Amino acid sequence: MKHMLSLTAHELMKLYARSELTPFELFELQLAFARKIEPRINSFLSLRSVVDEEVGKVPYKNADNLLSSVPVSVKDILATKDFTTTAGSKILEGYLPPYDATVVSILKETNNFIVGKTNLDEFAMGSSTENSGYYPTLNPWDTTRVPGGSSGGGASSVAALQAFVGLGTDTGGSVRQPASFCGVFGFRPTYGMLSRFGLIAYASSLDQVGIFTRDVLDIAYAMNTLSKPDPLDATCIATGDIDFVCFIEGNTNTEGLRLGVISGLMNEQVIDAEVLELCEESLRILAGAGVEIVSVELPFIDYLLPCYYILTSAEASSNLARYDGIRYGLGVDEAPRRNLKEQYYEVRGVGFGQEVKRRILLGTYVLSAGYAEKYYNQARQLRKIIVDSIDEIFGEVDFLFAPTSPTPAFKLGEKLDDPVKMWASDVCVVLANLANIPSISVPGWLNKEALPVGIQFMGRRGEDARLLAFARAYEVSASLRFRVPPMVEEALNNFEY
Amino acid sequence: MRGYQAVIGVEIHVQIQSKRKQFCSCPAVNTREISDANKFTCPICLGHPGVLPVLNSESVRNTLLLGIRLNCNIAKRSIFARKNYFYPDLPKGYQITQYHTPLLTGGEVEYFYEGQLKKAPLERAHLEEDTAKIFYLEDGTNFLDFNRAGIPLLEIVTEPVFTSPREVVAFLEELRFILRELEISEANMEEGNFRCEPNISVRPLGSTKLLTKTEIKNLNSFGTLIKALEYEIQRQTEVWESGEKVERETMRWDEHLQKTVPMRMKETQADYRYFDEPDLPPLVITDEQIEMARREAEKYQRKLNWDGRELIFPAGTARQMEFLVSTLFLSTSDAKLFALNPEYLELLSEVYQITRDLKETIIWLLQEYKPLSETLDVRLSPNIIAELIQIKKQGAVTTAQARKVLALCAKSGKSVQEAIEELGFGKTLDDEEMTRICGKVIEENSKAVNDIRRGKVQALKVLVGAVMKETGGRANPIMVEEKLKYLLNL
Amino acid sequence: MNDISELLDTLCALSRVSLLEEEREQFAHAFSRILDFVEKVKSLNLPSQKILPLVSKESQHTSEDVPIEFQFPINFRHDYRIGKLFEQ
Ligand SMILES: [Mg+2]
Ligand SMILES: [Zn+2]
Repeated sequence: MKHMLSLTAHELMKLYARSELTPFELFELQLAFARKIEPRINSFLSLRSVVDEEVGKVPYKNADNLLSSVPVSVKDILATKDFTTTAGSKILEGYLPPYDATVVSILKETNNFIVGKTNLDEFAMGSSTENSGYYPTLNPWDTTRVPGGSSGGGASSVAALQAFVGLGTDTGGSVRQPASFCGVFGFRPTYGMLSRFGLIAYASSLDQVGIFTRDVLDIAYAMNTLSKPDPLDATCIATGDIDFVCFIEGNTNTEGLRLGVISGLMNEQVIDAEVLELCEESLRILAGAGVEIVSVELPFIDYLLPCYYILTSAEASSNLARYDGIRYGLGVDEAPRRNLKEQYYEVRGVGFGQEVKRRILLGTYVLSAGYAEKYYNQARQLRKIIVDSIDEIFGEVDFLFAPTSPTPAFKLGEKLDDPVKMWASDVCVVLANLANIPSISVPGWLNKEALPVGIQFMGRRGEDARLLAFARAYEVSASLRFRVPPMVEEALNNFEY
Repeated sequence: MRGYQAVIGVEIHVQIQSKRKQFCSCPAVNTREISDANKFTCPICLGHPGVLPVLNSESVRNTLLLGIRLNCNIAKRSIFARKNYFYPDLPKGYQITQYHTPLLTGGEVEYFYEGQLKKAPLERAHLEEDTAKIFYLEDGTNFLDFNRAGIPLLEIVTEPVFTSPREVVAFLEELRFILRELEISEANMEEGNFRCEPNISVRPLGSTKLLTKTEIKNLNSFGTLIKALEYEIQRQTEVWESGEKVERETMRWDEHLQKTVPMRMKETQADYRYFDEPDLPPLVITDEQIEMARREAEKYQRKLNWDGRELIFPAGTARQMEFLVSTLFLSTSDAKLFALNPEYLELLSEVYQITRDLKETIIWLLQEYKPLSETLDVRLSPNIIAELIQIKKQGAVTTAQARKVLALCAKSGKSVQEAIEELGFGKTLDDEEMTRICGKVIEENSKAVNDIRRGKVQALKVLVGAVMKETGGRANPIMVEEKLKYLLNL
Repeated sequence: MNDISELLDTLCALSRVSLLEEEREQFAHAFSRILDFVEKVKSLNLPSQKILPLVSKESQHTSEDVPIEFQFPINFRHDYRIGKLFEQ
């Protein structure tokens, strides 16, 4: 029975449907294993200790292509009434939100089982989960390496059989990059396809909930479940009237589709040689499936990262202004005894970690009088040029291709000293956020050190279903199967249940 | 003022009447009792992590209504912005407001000042949200009430066009009246739903250059506004005259010192780092919405039938004042009473239609009917008032009697004739009785009679007075005089 | 290094952030790297043209369409106190 933990969600739901197992049995098993392996990887900031009868005893309902009765991990930046929600920051230590994020409410309504809240870089600022205000998460493929970030705990939880599906957030690759590092699928929908209500804001105009799974079909199930109109999010564009699963199943033909390879992101000066080789391998498979591979040029490719960091830091400096310890969070109890100045500097000086402070200061700088014109407004204009160029390119091709990350998972501590070096690992992923297009990281192959490497497909804005159908076709052509990291496999074999 | 002239502009923050707050569904209610503090809050208006704003359309509708009334340009597409600064009354650390694209620009407020209609051009009016209220406690700590946080606000900014504090108040009173009449705001200064922050500079008379201005905050009545502005004009004039420079700063009025003092705001030295609010799509206003606002504004117009002509006044008093003062030549104070009380203005037109005597009608409406109607809380029909005025003018009753008749009509609902009858006024004495009383009076006043016979005709008045007294005022003095002349063979 | 230190002080004051003693030096170094990094965008000198709106969606529903209801847990705070303000 315990090997059911490495199934995909839709395979699991089939077992429920055939009454081979009840959700309660599965949840108990899931929780037991998640808790057993947790000390070795630290995927979670809070992990449920028991399966509530109330939640567990609800029988499986065979709903129309929805995710139902599936163990899901939720990034600790999404508000939950019944788990503290910290955004990985000391400034929110112990904070229990008075409401559930919309995506969390939907998961509950559809009887999914929230296993726990996954670790992340503080306020989603980082690419390794080492910036968590609590502890780093370790990569289940090699615990001396990072799982990527910022949704590192989400990716590792799905890879390490702690949850079937993970919810993360992707502002600049924070779902796709860790998916690549942990050997799972990571999807960032078009901005607005999933409600942001309850997503603790980092950079609001780029933040988007993303999904970790073990195959493409599970993403479709998750999108069917979660992509709904939300009266609480004025920027939500979901209509809820598309069935992603049906769409994928009805659109399997890749013959004649044009895939644009972004040449600037296939450059050996930027991308690890082995990663490039693995990319080439994937492209050969696609060519074999009748896909026409073309090379495309994107202007300003060297400017993507600085542009991204200016825009996100600016918004972050404003979004993080609310943490003053007056209404909630760190410092609330001392607030009446401190003068106001002390209150702000104490709470924010101690509560925020270094990376967060750096970005707040950068954001304040690029928005401040006299500098906004030179930095922030330039970056806004650059973003428009990027969007226009991407739209133009999509007039020629159906999808875009790039590696997800220039390298496989790097060592813990390797890039911690130099923020700019760390930021460089996002070079391939920020494009989708800046251009606001859907993007998916698909696990490719293992490199020589047996580390997973992901590839990335991007689709036209709003054509999320089409992108998923294409990724599914690739998955089938390449005969991809979810691989359990050896350390996890061994733990599962030794797991007495 | 020693050759200097003040140049004043005003920023007004108006709480817009609305069931809900600007960006959440909490009731928009100002706290009356401290025990009600923080009752109307939710994660959104408390700025909890992860929440998002959703715009309230009621406040948008109200703003459009004002925009139509004041002839503003309405932006078809306006973008919200964040104004970033730290203060404990600002839950998110930024205020959602409008910066580059206010919903309303231009337009003007007409007001009546020193006997003429004047116009205060507006720079802009934009939507934003209110902050929390800080209660200062005795133990030195402060209590925050977030009921106010998120209440819809409209910030109205005038061009710097006023030259005297009193003129500013005349403008503000008119604006406040318009807001109330259109039901856009209760616009109560003490309750904090109408907050004025004047900015002021002075310049040598004749100069057109604007010099450094200061802003004055925390003014809670028109009285303090006038005092603070007068003080500030004096202060700035003295600074320039002494060869120094006025500093650009924000002042507040210190009630104890009776002077303006700079606010110690060094810490929060304004760099608001405005940028577009990423959580709200642009506010798009359709032609239908504007048309709806136009129709709504029409509902609030005052229509007056004056002497067969239909006059239309927009909400507010200025145009009515102009009509009453410039066309009908009412005094400013009388005109104000009518302009502020639409029902009296209507009465004026209806009663005047019958009496054709404007002066009498105004006197009877304002001096007699208005106080009576207000104390008894009763309304009389224009016909009753007009009838009374006419009967009095014909001399059937005296002024004193007419007053009593009016009171009885108001109290009892009786008609004028019934009231006169009940009071026994104006009952025409029959000729017999009249002859008897006149004869009696002639007998008793031989001195006066002798005077009359000697040609001192004025002495007749003494006899008339005596008859009137004898009849308890029931006689018509003209008829009495006739009778007396007849009996005295004059 | 002195310039950057001054800049950091200004930015810290604007952002109400303090740097821990041990953070300071490392921070100054990292921050100057960051400034070099974003300098690239500044040096682009793009012609001033129309900026893409931050929110591409053009319509919005309002809180009147769907009132937002919250249920509060019992521990929701209602007493918010702070100490002395700047002006006091
Ligand atoms: Mg304002
Ligand atoms: Zn609220």
